[in-house]
Amino acid sequence: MESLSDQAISPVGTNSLDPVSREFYDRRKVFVKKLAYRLLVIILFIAIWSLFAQFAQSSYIPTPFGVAKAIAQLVVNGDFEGYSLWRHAWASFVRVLSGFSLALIMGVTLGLFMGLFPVLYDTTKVIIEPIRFIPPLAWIPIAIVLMRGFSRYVFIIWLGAFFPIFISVLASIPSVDPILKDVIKVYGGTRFDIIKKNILPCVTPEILSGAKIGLGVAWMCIVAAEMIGGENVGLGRLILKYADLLKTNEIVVGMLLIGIIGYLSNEAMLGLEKYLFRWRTKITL
Amino acid sequence: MSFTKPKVEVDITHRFGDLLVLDQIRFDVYENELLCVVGPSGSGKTTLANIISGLLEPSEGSVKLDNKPVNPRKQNISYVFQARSCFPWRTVKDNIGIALELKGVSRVEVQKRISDVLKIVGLTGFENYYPNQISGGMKQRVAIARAFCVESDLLILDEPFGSLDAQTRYLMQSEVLRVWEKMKRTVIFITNNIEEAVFLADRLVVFSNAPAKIIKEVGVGLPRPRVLTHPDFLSIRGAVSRLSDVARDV
Repeated sequence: MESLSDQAISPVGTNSLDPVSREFYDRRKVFVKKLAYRLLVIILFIAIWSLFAQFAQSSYIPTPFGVAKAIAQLVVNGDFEGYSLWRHAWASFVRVLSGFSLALIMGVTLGLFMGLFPVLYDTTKVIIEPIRFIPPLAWIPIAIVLMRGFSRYVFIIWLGAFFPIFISVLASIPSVDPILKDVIKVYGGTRFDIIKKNILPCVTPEILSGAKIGLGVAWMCIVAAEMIGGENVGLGRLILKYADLLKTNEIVVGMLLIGIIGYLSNEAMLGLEKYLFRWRTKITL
Repeated sequence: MSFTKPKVEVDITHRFGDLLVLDQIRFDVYENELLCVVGPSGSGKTTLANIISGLLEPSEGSVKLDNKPVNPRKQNISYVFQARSCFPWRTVKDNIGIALELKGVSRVEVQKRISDVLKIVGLTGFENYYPNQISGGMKQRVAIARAFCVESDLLILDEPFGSLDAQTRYLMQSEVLRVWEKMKRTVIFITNNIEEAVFLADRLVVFSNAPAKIIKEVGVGLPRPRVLTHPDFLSIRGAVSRLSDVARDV
C-alpha cells in the first residue's frame, strides 16, 4: 500500500513520466529483475545438481536430464499401470482440497463457538487437547481398518488441517477489541452484528494463517496416507510404486510435483491475504 | 428552558464490587442543550458515559431518555469513545457508515448522508482511506462524523480530544460547536479540561475526585463564539477551577 508521501519523496528530475505510468514502469522493472534472479537461481541449482550426479556416477542418483525424461514419459504414456501424471496429481489434489475444506469449515465454526463460549472449551479440553497431539499418521492404521476409499484420505487430511485452524481461531477471540464491540452495541447492533461486523473480520487473519499451516500439514498427511492405503492413484502412491523399482528419477517427479502444487496453493493464499488485508500496513509471511 | 421536561434524567450510584465509583450522581439535560461534565481523571467519567449510553447497568438508580429507561436497541444514541474506535478493515466511508448500517438505513441514503457529513468534518477526499493511512486527529473526526450522521436523541462525547495537541484540539472544539449548531442535538460532553468545558458548554456539571460526587452545576451564559482570553470567560474558568480545588482539600 503506497502512502501519499512516497510520491512526494521520489527524486526530482527523474519524473519525466506522469506519476501513474511512472509507477507502472517502475513496478515492471522490479518485476523483470526479480524474475531474472529467480531464473538464475533455478539454473544454478540444476547446474550444481548435474555436477553432483556426474561425480557420484551411480544410476540410483536422479539427474536433471533423467527427471525431465521421466516427466515426459509419465505425461505421455503414464506409469507402468497406465495412470498419467495428471491423474496422480489430480487425485491427490482433490483429496487434499476435500479434507482441507472440511477442516476449514469445522475449524472456523468450532473455533468461533468455543472462543465465544469459553466454558465449552474448558470442559471439553481434556478430550480435545490429547487428540490434538496424536499425529495424523498414527491414525492411519485405524483409518484403514474402519474406513474405505475416499473417506479414509479425507479423514486423515482433516485431522492434520483441522487443529492448526481451530486453535488459531480459538486463540484469537480474546484479542478482539472490546471498544469496537461497544460501538456496534451502542448503535443498536445485535449479537449477530457483533459476530459479523467485528469478530469475524478480526479473526480472518488468524483463520488464514491457520489455514496456511493446515494446508502444509494436509500435504504431509496425504502422501503418507496414499503410501499405505488403498487405491493405485495419487502422488504418494506414484512415489511408492517407483520406490519398489528403485527408479529414483520418477520418485523425484512425484516429490517435485507435490512441492510445486503446495507452493502454488500457498502463493494463492498469500494473494488472498494481500487482497483481504489491504487495510494492514504490513503482510506477515 | 427550565419549564420544559428534561430530555435526559440521570440519577445513579455505581460500584465496581466494593469500590464506590459514582456517588448519587443526579442531573438533567434538556433538549438541544450542550452539557459538559468536567472532573479530574480517574473520577469515573467514562463509567458515567457507559451507563448513560446504556452499555453498562448502574448499581442503583436509572437513566431515562425521553422518560423511558435508556436502551440503545430502542433509542438512537450516538457515542464518541475516548479510545480509538475505528474499524481498521473499513475505509473512512464505511467506518462512518456502520452506525447507519446498524440502524437499517438504505444503501442510497447511507451514501448521501456520508457525503454530507464528510464535508462537515472536513474529510472529503479521504473517504476511501483506511484508518492506518490517516492521522490520529482524523480518526477522531471519523468517530465524530459517525456519531453525527445518525439522527440521535442523545450524543455522548467522552474526552474525544484527550490525545490531541492543543492546536488540533482547539480546531476540533470549534468544529464540534459548528456541527452542533448546524445539526442541533442534545449533547453530553465529558472532559477533564476546564477550559474546554467552559468554551463549549451551555451548562457544566463539576465532578469531585473519586468517588465522584457532583460539586456544583454551573450555567455558562457567554455568547458564542467564545474568546478564551475574554475577562468573563476567565472569571468563569477561575470559578470552576476553585470549585475543584476546594473539593480536593476536603
